[in-house]
Amino acid sequence: MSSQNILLDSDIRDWVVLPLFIIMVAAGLLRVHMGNLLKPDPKNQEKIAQRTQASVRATSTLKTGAIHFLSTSKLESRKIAYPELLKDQAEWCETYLEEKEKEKEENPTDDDTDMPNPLAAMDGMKGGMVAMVQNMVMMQGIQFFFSGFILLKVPFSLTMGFKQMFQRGMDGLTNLDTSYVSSISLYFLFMYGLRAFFRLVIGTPTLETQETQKMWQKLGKKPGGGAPNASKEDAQIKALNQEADNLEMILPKQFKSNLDNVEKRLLKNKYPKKKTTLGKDDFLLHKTTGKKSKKNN
Amino acid sequence: MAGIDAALPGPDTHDEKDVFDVTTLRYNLQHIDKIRSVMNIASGCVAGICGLTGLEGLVCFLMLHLSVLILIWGFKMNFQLRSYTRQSIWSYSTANLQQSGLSFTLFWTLFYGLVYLY
Repeated sequence: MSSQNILLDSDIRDWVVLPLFIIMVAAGLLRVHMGNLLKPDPKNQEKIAQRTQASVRATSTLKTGAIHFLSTSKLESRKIAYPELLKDQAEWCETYLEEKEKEKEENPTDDDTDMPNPLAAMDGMKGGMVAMVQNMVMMQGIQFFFSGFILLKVPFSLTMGFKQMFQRGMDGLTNLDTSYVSSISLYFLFMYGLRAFFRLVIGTPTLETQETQKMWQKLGKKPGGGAPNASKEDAQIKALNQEADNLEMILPKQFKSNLDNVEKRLLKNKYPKKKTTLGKDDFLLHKTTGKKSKKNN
Repeated sequence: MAGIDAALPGPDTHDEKDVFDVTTLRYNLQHIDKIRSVMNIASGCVAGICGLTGLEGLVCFLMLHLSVLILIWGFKMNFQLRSYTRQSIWSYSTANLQQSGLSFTLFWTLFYGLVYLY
């Protein structure tokens, strides 16, 4: 193996490698935005789902950091009130569900329970389709435009078996190191390597959108005949009750806030040891009683 | 990084199954992910410019990857993995290893070619 590298024409770098990089980045961004455009409009949530989500969201602050901004008395009162709140909401949801079922029995309308499910499956496939179509189109385009020359050398050695895959358009060069690759292999390298890059540039979607996506997945994955809606909503009501129980169990008996004695912790040594006694006229906390002032009265 | 333990010295502070603050946990993981991605790309560029080939490049990748992880663990988490992410040491070290490796390879190849072949 010769340690000398072949020197390549810099025009290749200017007109192929860098444009390929720009094309790949642009294609990735395009894919993301197309995915956003093709996303279906969000449906209005059922009343019960709304209630459960809203109540869980409102009561979750106790678990996630309320000790940092609420005082102890407020924490104690919330600790008692929130489980009751959740249980009340669960009861409301149950009565609502019963009323709805009674209505359905009384007027048997056409069942619209089957409608959401096939559409939900389609939307998941749309995103995948866009990516695949784009991949095929790009591969064909690159093979058409950028064929017939060496692009780069991968810094590690590859076996002869890869020669056919990585050196597509160059049939005459049987003795060339397998390390020298053509444009298709660079395309593959870019495709996999830029995934991490895109995660940085585009960023993961905000946590809220991620959570709504998870909710959609849960709602979309409860198909089936029989009583699909009932099982889904029963599960949600159960979740509410469970959340109420969780809150009761998890919060400690002495639910102290982080703000207790915060002045002492902040000032440490400088915390005043003597209590200042305030006279009637001391609205600015200066000691006007005690020492006589030297002003002329 | 935001700590996710309960601030109270209660009996359930070190409960393995209970995460007190889920949003900060997720935020921490995202943050670690971002730091890792940037550093992997940077180490790819370093390896390419230095002209490392083959096994040397792999060793360089592993060393730089490990040092980034150790620095995050030491400076950001104060050597307490449990308090900041509920991951074991093994899963902390090998999370997204494949993607990091691929992006490292990409930038390694790119910069090696730009510097040594053109």
